[in-house]
Amino acid sequence: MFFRLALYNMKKNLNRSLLAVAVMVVASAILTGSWAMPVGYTEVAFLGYRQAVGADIIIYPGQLLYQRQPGDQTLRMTVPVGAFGNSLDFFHRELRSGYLTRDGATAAVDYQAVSDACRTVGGIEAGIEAIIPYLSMPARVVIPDPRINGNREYRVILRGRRLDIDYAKYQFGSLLSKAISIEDGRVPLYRNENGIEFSPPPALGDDLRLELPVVRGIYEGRPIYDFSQTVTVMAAYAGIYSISLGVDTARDEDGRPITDESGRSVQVETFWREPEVIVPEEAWREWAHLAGLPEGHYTQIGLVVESMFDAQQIAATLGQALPEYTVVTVPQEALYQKQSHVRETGQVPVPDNLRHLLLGLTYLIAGILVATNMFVLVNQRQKDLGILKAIGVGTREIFVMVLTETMAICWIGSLVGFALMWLLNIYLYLFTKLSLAEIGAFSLLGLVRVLAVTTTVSLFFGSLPALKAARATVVEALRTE
Amino acid sequence: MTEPILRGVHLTKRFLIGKGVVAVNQVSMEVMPGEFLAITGPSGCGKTTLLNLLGGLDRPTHGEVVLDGHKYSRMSENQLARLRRTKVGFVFQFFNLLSDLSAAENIALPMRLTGLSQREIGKRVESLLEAVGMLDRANHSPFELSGGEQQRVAIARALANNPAVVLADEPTGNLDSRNGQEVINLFRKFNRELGQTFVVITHDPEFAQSADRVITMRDGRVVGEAGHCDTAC
Repeated sequence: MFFRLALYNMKKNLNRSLLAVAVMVVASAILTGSWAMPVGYTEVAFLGYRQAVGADIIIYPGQLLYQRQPGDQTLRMTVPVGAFGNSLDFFHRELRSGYLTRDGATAAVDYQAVSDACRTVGGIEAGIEAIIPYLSMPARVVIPDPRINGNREYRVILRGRRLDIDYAKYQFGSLLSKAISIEDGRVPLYRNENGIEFSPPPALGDDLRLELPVVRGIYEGRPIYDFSQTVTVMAAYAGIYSISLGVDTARDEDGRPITDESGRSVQVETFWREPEVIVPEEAWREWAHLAGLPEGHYTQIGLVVESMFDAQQIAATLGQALPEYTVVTVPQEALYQKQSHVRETGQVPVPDNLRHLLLGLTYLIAGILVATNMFVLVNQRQKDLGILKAIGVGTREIFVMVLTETMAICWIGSLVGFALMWLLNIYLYLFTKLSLAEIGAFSLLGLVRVLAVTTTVSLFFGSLPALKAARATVVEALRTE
Repeated sequence: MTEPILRGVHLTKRFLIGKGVVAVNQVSMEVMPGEFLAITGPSGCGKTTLLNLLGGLDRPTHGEVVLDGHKYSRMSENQLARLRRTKVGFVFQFFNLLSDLSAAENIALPMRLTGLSQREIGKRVESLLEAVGMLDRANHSPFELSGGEQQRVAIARALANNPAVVLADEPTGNLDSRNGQEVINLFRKFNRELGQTFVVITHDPEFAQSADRVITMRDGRVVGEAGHCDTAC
């Protein structure tokens, strides 16, 4: 009954509370945007946003190109799982049916066309450092295990990479310090130490046997891999590599954040965890040819650019030059900024402290306005409150009733603010070439967080007018006209 | 011997306005179960203040009020609110219905506070509406009711939880003579048929005449008392 009364009062007086609602809308929108941006790429871009918007886009280091299906107006995430789209889970699913085809993968991207387009937009002068085709195919690594008197097989994603560029650009984490040079003509193979373990662990320099599936053909632009017939190739185990994905909050087994003695969450470095092995690009091309993969069949092409500022410009220009492809950018900078505690997303760096200050001020103003609004409403409703008290409504119930009304006003403002930001983001996402790093991503968790802040603010600022209402004596209240 | 249901002992209420105003001065009174007591006196003589003290809406500066064995001075505000909920019904001169609720909802409100089931509340509301002749106006909001109708709803609300005593402050003061008479008749009816205890402030001689006992106040003191019958006194 009291909740109903509170909601009824809120509804009846909504026109008088418009200013409070509006300020709460602004506060919530700022909070929503502020929270969405830092997590835009790193946490929910691939999953939550895809689901929310119904359109998909890949963003990752360098620039990746994905083909848009002819006549398809929707941006499509063409690689199902994982940022590079080479998830072993995906391959496993396909393996069950005997043949392996990259369902959902794109048709080939024309390397020459991309290369030409890059030249037309300025090439190196424009900030393009390298054009790297994404070379990937499934494979099995076979390791003899004397303990079982047989072999152990590991399904891996075989990547071909330009190791000279990898060394120069990324240094591949610990690759240099944990790898050996293979100079006897054998193909060096490196294992992602965070993605897959071999048992028994091979010694550096050991020969490793790889089985490559035969490519049966190309169906709708996608290669069909057949593991029932394989091509065996040999490589020399040259070491391990790791790719840092930046710093993230450490979590225990139950997924709860781990905190230190001062209560701050512990930050740990996170790594790329795909079960990959990499070999030099030339070896991969040769092996792919042996397996029957057509020459130049690239599902993606990465552009390595000097900075995110270049990336934005290049993405826009390339998008016009290659209308058949979807060009997306990568907020690799966002990862770096996250690591350095400057939540730069897009082109406007906003330090955490300033962000918190702005948010604090916005919510302070919103809270004060809401409290003032409620004081006015409580004063206008003195008589009703007096009647309620006369018939036996206690101070606690009056307090809760007024607080509920305050909270309802704040929640309406917050939900509208969240929705507005969401719609704005969807619009930007679908109709501009801005990357998710700039736009930010949304999730239900974000909504829960915004509502939690709103509830806290409304409880704090709403308790003052609620206290006033609860404390008014019946006689005073009834005397009010 | 029957114990009084409501008792005021040396009640004094002083308001700190200017040099201080003594609205009620050393008033002691008793109300017996089933009694219909009228309080009269000129405006400003302290009748409403006394009624507020008796109903636990206000605290006396000195003295004690005991309702059905409960001493107000020993009770917190929340305990007093709970006591009012179950033991006291109020009828005001200006009806004081909640304008956001319908007639039926206004009557149901005190019952909802006591945790009665929806079904029981529905039954009781219906019987009360019928008793005050407002069954056909159950879903009307107070704005859609005449003064007399609003007061009848207010009387039904006051009786909702079968209170030990109903305190009414000039219930006919804002009504024309016809509606006033209807309200008087309702009070009489509930007093005689249900044995409901009433303490009514009134300027209306006819209303006072229908009471079992009349207390007259002047300058915060009881200056006269007269009984019209001996049944409950």
